Amino acid sequence: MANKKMYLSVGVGFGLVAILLAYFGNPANMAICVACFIRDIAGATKLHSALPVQYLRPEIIGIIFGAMLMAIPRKEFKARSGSSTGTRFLLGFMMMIGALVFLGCPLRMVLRMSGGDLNAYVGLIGFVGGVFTGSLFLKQGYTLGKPQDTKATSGFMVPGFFLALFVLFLIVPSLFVMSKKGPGSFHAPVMISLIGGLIFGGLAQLSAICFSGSIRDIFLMKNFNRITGVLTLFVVVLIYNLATGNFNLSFANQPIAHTEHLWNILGLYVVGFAGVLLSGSLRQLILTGQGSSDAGVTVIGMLVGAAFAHNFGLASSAEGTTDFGRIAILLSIALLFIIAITNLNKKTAASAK
Amino acid sequence: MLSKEWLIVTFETEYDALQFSNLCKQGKIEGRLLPIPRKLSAGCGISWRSETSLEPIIQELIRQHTDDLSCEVVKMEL
Repeated sequence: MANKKMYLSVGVGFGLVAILLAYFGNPANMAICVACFIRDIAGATKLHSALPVQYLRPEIIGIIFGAMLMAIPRKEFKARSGSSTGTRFLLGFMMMIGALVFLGCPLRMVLRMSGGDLNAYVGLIGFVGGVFTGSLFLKQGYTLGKPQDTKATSGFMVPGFFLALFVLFLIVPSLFVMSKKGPGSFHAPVMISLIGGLIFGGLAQLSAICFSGSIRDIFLMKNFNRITGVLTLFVVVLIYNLATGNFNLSFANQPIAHTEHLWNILGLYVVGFAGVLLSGSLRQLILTGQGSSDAGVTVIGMLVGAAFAHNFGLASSAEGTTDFGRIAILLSIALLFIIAITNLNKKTAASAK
Repeated sequence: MLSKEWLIVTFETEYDALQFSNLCKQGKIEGRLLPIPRKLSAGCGISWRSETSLEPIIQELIRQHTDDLSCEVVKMEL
């Protein structure tokens, strides 16, 4: 019961952060989105040159350091690495491709749902399907192996990389590209974005909440604790959207969204499947803040994935998906099955037969 | 709701937790998987919960599989 109350409170906190960021200028139905914001950072640092999506989003730095600042005093910062790090890079890469074909991570999916975007409800089918598929492989003995303790300094490297970018952005903003139009041009003031991210990351660390994990908990344990936080976020933002006239129930004319149902489903299928294989989707930022270099490399995989998604024309737009994007999704699904099958522990797989 | 003391087994990976659950089912040891209590871990992992009276049986099961399992047993109120 105490757990449920904590998840309810955290869901309210998430919702208030999203509302605050939306109010102060973040894009419509995209108040906070891990995939979109990492993609914007890739654009700001010229890893891709898609003009509408370039801005160094302070929220991402805030989420990593919010988690770290919460973890250190609680003695939960642990520098660890070595759990199939290379595989995690690829999973992060594919998770980003899936998110950019759908146009959002699971967090933005919930925000889009609370704004009345029916395409996000369609995408939810794929996300749940992906988590279900990953959970089946977990039951069959899928594992990427145990991480090992490593030098404490290693745990600070990826957070330090993002912090260095942010400090450079504050000191010499002209080094970075900032969109003049499109989603990248909509943003809250820097300090509000940073504080929003810090609160979001701190709450996520405190509660150990996870979007794919909350659905995995239902499949594997029939436990609804974590989903309570996600549902609360949905309800809080839904109330805000209804009260402010931002609720628009439709498939068409939704902000930064397309109506290709099959690819909305398959895009989030990739995200859900990869999320379970990684033990968390947006949670990778939190784990990075807690000292996991495996998660840090996953986030770098997402950053590289975002750059490739735009440089090779894989990312969707409001006009719809692309041929290359659809091919990339099918290849990603095939690769996810290969990774899941080749990482089955043989002993468990044999005893399960 | 009154809280009660339980035996909680925590694991390094989800794989270990699910393997332990299979072993318990095979050995007809009562209990269930549950998300790891937040007090015990900052992760979103999986743990095993049983009645505290089953501790000797569970410790023996862990001893038998000590090479395959990486876990800790604690008692806590839930």
